[in-house]
Amino acid sequence: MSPVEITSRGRIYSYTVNYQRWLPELDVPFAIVLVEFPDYPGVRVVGRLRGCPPEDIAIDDEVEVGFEPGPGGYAIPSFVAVADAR
Amino acid sequence: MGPDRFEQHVVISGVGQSVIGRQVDRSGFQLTLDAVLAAIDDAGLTVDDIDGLAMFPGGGVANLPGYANGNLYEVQDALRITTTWRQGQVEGMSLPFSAPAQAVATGQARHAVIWRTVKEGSAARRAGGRPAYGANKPVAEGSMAWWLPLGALSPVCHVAPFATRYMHEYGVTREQLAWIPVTQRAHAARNPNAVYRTPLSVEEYMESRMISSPICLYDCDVPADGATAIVVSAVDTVPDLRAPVRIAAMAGVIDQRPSWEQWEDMGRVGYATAAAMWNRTDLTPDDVHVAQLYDGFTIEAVWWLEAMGFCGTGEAGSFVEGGKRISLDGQLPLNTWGGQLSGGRLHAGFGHTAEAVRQLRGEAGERQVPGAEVAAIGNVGGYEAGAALLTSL
Repeated sequence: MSPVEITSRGRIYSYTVNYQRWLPELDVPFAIVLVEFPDYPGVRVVGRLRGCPPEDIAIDDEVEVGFEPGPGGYAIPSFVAVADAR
Repeated sequence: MGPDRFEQHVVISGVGQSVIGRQVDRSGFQLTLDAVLAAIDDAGLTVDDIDGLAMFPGGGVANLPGYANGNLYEVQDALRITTTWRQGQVEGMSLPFSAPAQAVATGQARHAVIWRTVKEGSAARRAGGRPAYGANKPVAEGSMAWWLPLGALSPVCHVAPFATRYMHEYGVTREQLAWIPVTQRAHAARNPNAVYRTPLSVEEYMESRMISSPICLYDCDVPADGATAIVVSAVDTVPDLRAPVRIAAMAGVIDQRPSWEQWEDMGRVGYATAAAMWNRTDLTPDDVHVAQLYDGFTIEAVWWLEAMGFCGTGEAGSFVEGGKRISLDGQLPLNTWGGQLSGGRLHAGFGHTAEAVRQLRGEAGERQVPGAEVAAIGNVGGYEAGAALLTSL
């Protein structure tokens, strides 16, 4: 078993937009997407989505892989909406 | 159906609860003992009859703020009893009384008590809102490693994508699913121990604030303080018991990837568990008089309605719409104590089990379903799941 690098676009399997401020420093709202990759069956990655207003997200939308700064100096999985996907 | 099933060798003999409320001015240890002693008394037993102790979750771990089971040994010490079987469950709970039932069925104990104690109402008040994982778990690890760094700090964020996907696949609407919390609130009005008892309307539901879409405030169970205890006894002790109920079947199957984000088919949850349960009995969904289905969130009750076959896949919206079918005089009275949505988040099916036992005994007061002889229970449904059918003796 070894890691596989995926750089292709993914497709949104499902999502949620979180509105609740669980911790004082948490900026809301933000979108969380569950992304699958058509060329890599069985892979699903959860991350935030940026690049489109939360109310415009839809299942099956295409997204690009990205990362963004996370807690403790680490990068966390993130996705970027593909503007011309629909 | 196999010739010999472990659940035939046991009965649920007692259920007991502490005072339940948003904030109760008693320690978790006090609440635990209140419930344990009440359950033993309810069974018609005395403390010295108890030889098995279990709690969910175990380990004294504070999984979330307000998990207040305490320590199993302190409870044994308080009771001054001898135990031949003990267990604290963290993972693999199914329905939590499943393990005590197995212990009793295999002769490791005669009368086992399991309890669940929460002080999540008090924890929420202290936190200034519903406590989140990040509040006491600064390091993301295990199953939460992919979620917590995103700010998905509460179970609601992990369950919400299931609801999004389900509603997308089957065209079910929030207006339809609103009838679950609305109808359960009407049931809670008849339960003096429920946390929220004032009427709730579909309009109020639709106007309530979104927590993590499509899950709104009234789709979330209410953090509470309280404890529930369940006594499981050997079937040959039935003559000594006040009002036992049978376990006709129970099962807990995980057939998809056990993770909130990896579960393959988010539109279908609990099916393998429900199928395994029905395979252990001659009863059918039409035989069920009352359903106590886990409702940490509204969508979880939807899973069980469909998985257990009370309606078809994707049909829960039309099944619950208008509330008639799931009301006290409907074809399948649902969460007759108000469920966790209105009765309080007693967690892990404990409140549901206590209510099922009361209904089967005819001891549910103003919310009694006449002639209830078969009750279905579901717990969680996602990557942990347990289901049981209880019947009157």
